[in-house]
Amino acid sequence: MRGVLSIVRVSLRQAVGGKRIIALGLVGLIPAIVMWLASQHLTERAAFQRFHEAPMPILFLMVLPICALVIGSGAMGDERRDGTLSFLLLRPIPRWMIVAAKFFAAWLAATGIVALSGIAASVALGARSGDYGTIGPVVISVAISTAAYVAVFMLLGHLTSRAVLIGLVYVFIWESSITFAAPALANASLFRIGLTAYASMVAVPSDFDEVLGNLAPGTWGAVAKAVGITGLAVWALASMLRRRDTVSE
Amino acid sequence: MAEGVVFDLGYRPHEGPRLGRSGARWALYRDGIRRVLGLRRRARRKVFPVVLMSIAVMPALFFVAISVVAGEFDSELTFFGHAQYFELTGIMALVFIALAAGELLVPDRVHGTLAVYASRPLTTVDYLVGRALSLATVVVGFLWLPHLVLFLGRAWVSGFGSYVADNWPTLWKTLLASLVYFAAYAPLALLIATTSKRAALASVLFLGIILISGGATAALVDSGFNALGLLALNQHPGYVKDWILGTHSHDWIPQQAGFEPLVSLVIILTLAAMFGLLLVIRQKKAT
Amino acid sequence: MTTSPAVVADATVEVNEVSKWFGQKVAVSDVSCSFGPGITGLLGPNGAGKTTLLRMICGLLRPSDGTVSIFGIDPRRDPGVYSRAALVPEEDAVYPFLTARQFVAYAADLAGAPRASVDESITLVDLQAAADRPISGFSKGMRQRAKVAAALVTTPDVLILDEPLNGTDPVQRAHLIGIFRRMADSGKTVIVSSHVLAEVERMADRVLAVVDGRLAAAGDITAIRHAMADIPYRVRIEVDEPRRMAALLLETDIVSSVTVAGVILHVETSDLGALGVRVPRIAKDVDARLTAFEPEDESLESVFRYLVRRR
Repeated sequence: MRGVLSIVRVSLRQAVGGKRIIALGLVGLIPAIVMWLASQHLTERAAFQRFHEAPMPILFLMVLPICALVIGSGAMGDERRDGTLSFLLLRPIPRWMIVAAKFFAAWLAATGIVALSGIAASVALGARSGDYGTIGPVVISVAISTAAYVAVFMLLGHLTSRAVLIGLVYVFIWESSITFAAPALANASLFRIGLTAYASMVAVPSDFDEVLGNLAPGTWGAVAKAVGITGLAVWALASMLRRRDTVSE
Repeated sequence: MAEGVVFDLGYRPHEGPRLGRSGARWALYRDGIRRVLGLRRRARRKVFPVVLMSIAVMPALFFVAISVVAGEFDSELTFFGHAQYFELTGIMALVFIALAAGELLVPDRVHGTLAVYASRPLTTVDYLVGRALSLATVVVGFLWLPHLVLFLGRAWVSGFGSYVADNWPTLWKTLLASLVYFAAYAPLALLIATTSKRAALASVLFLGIILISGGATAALVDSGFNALGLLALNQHPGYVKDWILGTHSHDWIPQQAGFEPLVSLVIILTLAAMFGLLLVIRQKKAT
Repeated sequence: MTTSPAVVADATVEVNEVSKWFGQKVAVSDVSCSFGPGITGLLGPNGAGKTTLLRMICGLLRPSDGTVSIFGIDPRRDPGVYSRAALVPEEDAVYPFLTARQFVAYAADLAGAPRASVDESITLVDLQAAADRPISGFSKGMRQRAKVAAALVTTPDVLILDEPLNGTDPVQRAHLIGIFRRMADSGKTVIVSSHVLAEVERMADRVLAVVDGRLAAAGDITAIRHAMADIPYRVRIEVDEPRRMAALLLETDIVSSVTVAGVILHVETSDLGALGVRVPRIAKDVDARLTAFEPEDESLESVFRYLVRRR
C-alpha cells in the first residue's frame, strides 16, 4: 500500500508540475469568465440557459478533453519517454496496481483542474442567479467523464508516441463534429458519459437533448460506463506491461 | 623531459568553397522542409503530411475531373468555390501548423543541437526565419495548391486563354489569403513550441487556445461584448479571406461584433509581430 | 559439480539457452550461463548484446527462446522477486524533479524498505551534500550514484549494474567498486557490465565475454587466455644481452618471433610454461642477467581484443 501511495504521490507531481499546470489552469478559467461576462443583466432563467449554452460546452468539449489528453497520455507515456518505466516495473508490486495507481493520480490531477473550472463557472452562475445547485452535478459529471478520457488516453499514451495526435483527432473531429452530425454515434463519445449523469441531476434546458443524442440521462449508468472503461483500460495496460518488452524511447 | 609526438593521420581541412551565412541559411531552410514533410525520415513521419495534403487536394482534382468529363465548367457541379475551399483547407492548415511548429523547434532544444546552430554563421533571427520560411513554404503551398488545380482545371475546360485573362486575379488573391492564414496561426504556434519540451503538448496547447478563443468569444459577442470579438483567433483569417475574395461564406464573429475585415487584418499582423518578437526573445534565452 | 566455467554451482541467476531477436536482428544467441555470489563482469563490444542480456535477466525483455530465473523464479511471472534483485540501468532512469533523497525514498517505499535505510544508502554513495538538490541539476556521475543508492536501499541479494562507472571520476569509481566488492564479499551476487576493462579486471572474480550476441568466453581471465591456444602469448623479457638471447630463443621450437627494443625482448611463444623454463637456462648459457619476464597479454584488455578479433 505504501508503494502504491508513493506512486500516486510522485505521479501527481509529474502530472501537474512545471508550466503545464499554469497553462491548464488558465485554460480552465475561461468557462467562468465567459459565464460571468455573458450573463450580465440576465434573468435567473436566462442566466441558467446561458450557462448551458456556452460555459458548459466549453468545459466539456474543450477544457476537459484537453486536460485529460495532456495528463492522461503523459501518465505512462512520460515514464516511457523519460526511461523511468523500467524503474517502476522493477519493483515488487503487481503490474495492475502500478497501472491503477498511475490512473488514479492522472484522474485526480485532471479532475482537480477541470472540476475547479466547472465550480468557478457554477459559482458565477450562482452569483448571477442565486442558484448554486449545479456545483455538485458539475463536479460529479466532470469526474465521470474525466475517468473515461484519462483511461483511454493513458492506454493510448503507452501504445504510441502519436497518442496526442490521435487524441486531438478524436476530440476535435470525432467528438466535436461527427458525433453531433450523427446522434446515433453518441454512445461512442466519452464526454457525453458525464453529461448523461449531469442531465439526470439537473433540470437541463430542452436543447440539451441534441447534445445527448439517443443517450438516456442516468448517474449510475454513467458511473458504470466510466468504471467499465477504466477497468478495461487498466486490465489491457497491465496485460501489455506483463507481456510486452519494456523498451525506452 | 616528457616527449610528445603528433601523428599525421591524413587529416585534410575542407578545401572547397565556404558558403558562409547564405549557405547556412539555405541548409537550415532545406532541413526545415524535410522535417515538416518527414523526408529522409521513417515512413510513418510522412503519413500525416501526405494524408493532409491528399485530403486538401483531392476535392479539387475530383471537381476538375467532373468538369473535364462533363466537357464544361459548371459552378453548380463543382460545389466549392475558392472561398468555401478554404473552410476545408483552413482547418487542416491549423492542425498541420500545430504539429509542424513543434517538430521544427522542440527537437533542437531538447536534444541540445541549438549549440550546433549557434556555432555556425547563423543568428537567432536567421534560425527562426529559416524555420518559419520552411513552415510557410509547406503550409502556403498546400493551402494554395488546390486553388491552382481548380483554376487550371477550369481554365482548361473553359478555354484557357479567355479564362485566364478574365480570372487571373483569383490566383494572387487565393495566394494572399493563404498567406493570411499562415500569418494568423504560425507565429503563435511557433511561440508556444518554445515553451514546451514535448512537441505534442505544444500542439495541444496551441489548438486549445485557438479553438477555445472561438467558442468563448462567440458567447461573449452574443452577450454584447463586441470588443472581445477581436479575440476570436480562429475567425480573423476566414473573415479576411472573404474580404480578399469578395465573398461571404460565413457569419464571422468579428463581423457580428461590428468590425471591418481591415481590423481583422490589422489584428493578425499585430499579433504576428508581437508573437514574433516574443519568439525571438525566448529563442535568444534558449540559445 | 560445475561442468563449465560459464555455470556456477551456487547460482542465484540462471540463463538457460536464451536467445533474443528483434525482427531480423538477433541480439542474443543461445546463451547459457549462471551467476552466483561474487562479482561477475559482463564484457563485450558495443552492440554485443550485454544490455539485452541484462534486461532479459531482469524481466524487462522477454526471451525469444530459453528461460531466465532469479532464485528459481521467472521475474516476468512474479514481480515479488524484485524485493531481492535490483537493476542500475545504463540510461538516465531518474525523475528530474525529485531530489536525490526523495528519489531514494521513493525506491524504498516501492520495495517496502525501511525509511532509515534511505540516509544509509545516500551516505554509502557519498551523496549527502547534494541529497536535497533536484536531480535535474546533477552531473552524470552524481546521477549514477543516485541510481546506485536507489538500488542499494532495498538491500538486494542480486545487484545488476549496466555500465555503472559511466561518467564517474576515478575517486567515485574507486568508491563504487569498493561498495560492490563489499557486497560480493558478504555473499551477494553482483553482475557488472562495463567497458572500463581495467576496473572490471580489478573487481571481477570472473568474467563472461559476449561477442555478437554469443557467449565468447567465461571464467577466470588468465584461464580464458590460456584457453586461447591458437593465439601466441606475448612475453616481455628484460635482459642485458638481448641480441644473443634473441638468437638462441629463435632456435627453439616454441618461439615464433622476437622483437628487440634496446634491452627489452618482445617474444611470441606458443607455450608459455615451457618458455618460462627455457629462458633462465638460455640466460645462464649466454651469461646474461635476466631482470624481467612478464606476459604482456594476460590482461583483460588483451583477452578482450583477441575475443573480438576472432569473430
